[in-house]
Amino acid sequence: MRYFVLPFLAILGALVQGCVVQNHASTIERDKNNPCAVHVILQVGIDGTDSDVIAVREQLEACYDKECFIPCASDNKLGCKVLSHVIVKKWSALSGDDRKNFHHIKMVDDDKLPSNADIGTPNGGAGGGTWRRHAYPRTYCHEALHLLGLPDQYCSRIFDLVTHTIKEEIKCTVPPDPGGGTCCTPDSAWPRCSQPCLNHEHDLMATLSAELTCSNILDVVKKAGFDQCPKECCETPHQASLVPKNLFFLGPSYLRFGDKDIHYSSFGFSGEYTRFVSPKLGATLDIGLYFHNESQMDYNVHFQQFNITGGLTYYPIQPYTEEHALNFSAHALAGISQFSTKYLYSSGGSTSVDKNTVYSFHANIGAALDWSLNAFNIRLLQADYTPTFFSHSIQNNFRLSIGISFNF
Amino acid sequence: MPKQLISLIGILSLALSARPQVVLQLNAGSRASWGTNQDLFIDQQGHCRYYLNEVNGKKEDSSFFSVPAVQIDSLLTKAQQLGFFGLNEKYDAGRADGAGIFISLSSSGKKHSVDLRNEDLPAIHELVDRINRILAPHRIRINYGQ
Repeated sequence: MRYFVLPFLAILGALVQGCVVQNHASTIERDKNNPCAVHVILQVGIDGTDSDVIAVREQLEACYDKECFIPCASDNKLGCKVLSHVIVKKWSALSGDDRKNFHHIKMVDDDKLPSNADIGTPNGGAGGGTWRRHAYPRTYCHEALHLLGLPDQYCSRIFDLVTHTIKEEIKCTVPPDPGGGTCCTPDSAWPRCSQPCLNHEHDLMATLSAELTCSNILDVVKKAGFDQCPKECCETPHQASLVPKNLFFLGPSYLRFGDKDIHYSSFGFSGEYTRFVSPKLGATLDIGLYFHNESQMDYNVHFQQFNITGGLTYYPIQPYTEEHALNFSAHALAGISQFSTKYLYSSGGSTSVDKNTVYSFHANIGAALDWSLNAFNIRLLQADYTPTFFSHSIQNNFRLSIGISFNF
Repeated sequence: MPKQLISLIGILSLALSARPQVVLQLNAGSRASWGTNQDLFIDQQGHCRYYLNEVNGKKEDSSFFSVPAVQIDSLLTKAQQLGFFGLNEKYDAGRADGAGIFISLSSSGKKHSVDLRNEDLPAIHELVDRINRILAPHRIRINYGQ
């Protein structure tokens, strides 16, 4: 019983704990199944009370519950999604191994001093910080952005009344400091002053009066090197959705059998299946069945040809991406042809049948022209040169087909 | 005679308006662009000015009082003994935001300042303890997160 209960409880505990622990305290990564999505995942271990954990989790989840967008350079309506996630756990509940992947935040009582945090490294080691309880709104959101790698965007100066000089305390990471480089001007009446860096006046990294925006999240993603969208994410949605994986064709055909001794016109059906291996290239299987009958005075002969070939089909221009457009393809296939003849002799009230079936190597080289409609395509014409090699000679056959093709 | 009287009045005015040299300046508290700072100025005669300001905001409190000059002399002597004038000008733990303290002293012809950010040093800790003992009767306590 014990051997059943313990694993069950372990699994239940893992489920209750929630998300899978990441390998870094600040993880920025592309989605493994979707290259057009980037995840920003922050893991924070709160060294405090259960109430501290709840308070931090509530503030961080409210801030980071947003989906952001990296537009493509070619078309700003296309691009990649950026999804943010925050995992907040109690430090004392983390295992020794898990603690390596959580930022260590010590909670202290509010002493009216600002909280602090290490400036983290995306996909690097864990850092830490000291956060005050009941801190000003958005304090934890601001400090979390430090853990994700962002620096402050304010500068500060102190006036030294003993030496009558101004000390540079904090400088903007991207110069110049505002005010022509002076940042602000402290004096004996106001010895310490601070200003947001240029163009960061409404940035949460400069002032707690600002909200956390997608601009902050995208700065995190940029610092981690994930700010460029892969090419496949920048194709038009119409193109992306219409590039077929499979194509199926069916239609009537005219086959001219061109042996030096026997030559005739036959009719039948051709069917094709193409599996696209790239937007312009597919592997094709072609099957056709064609019939011809001849009647002479005392016998009828029925010709039947069954062909099966496989090979490649190539579209010079990416096909089936627009409605009401022509799609041209060329193919080169090879396979087997089965040629059957059936002679029916009628003489003196009796009928005799003589059958014969031979096989030959068969090639199929041709081209097709499709017209795209909404739900299907009309094959306007397919023309093929389809030689066979029965009876140690070459038959220069050719085939013409029309029909309907479907993408799926 | 009127010219001599005018000159005498000018010299007396200058003497009365000139403030004694500040020998200790202290700014403690926030090292972010929000929060509060405590500012303390003490001159060589023991006159003290104390302010509690929001960073880029309003003055929350102010206080003006005097302490015996001999206490200031003793404090500056202690600062020398603690090696204040040999410390670096900046000590930074590398964390963003947080709290710190800036102290600038003038003593025996020497002037030096030390700026701590999210950091504490034994010499500064002891010096601030001494300052807090001097300020205690005035219900002021310097807090830089120590």
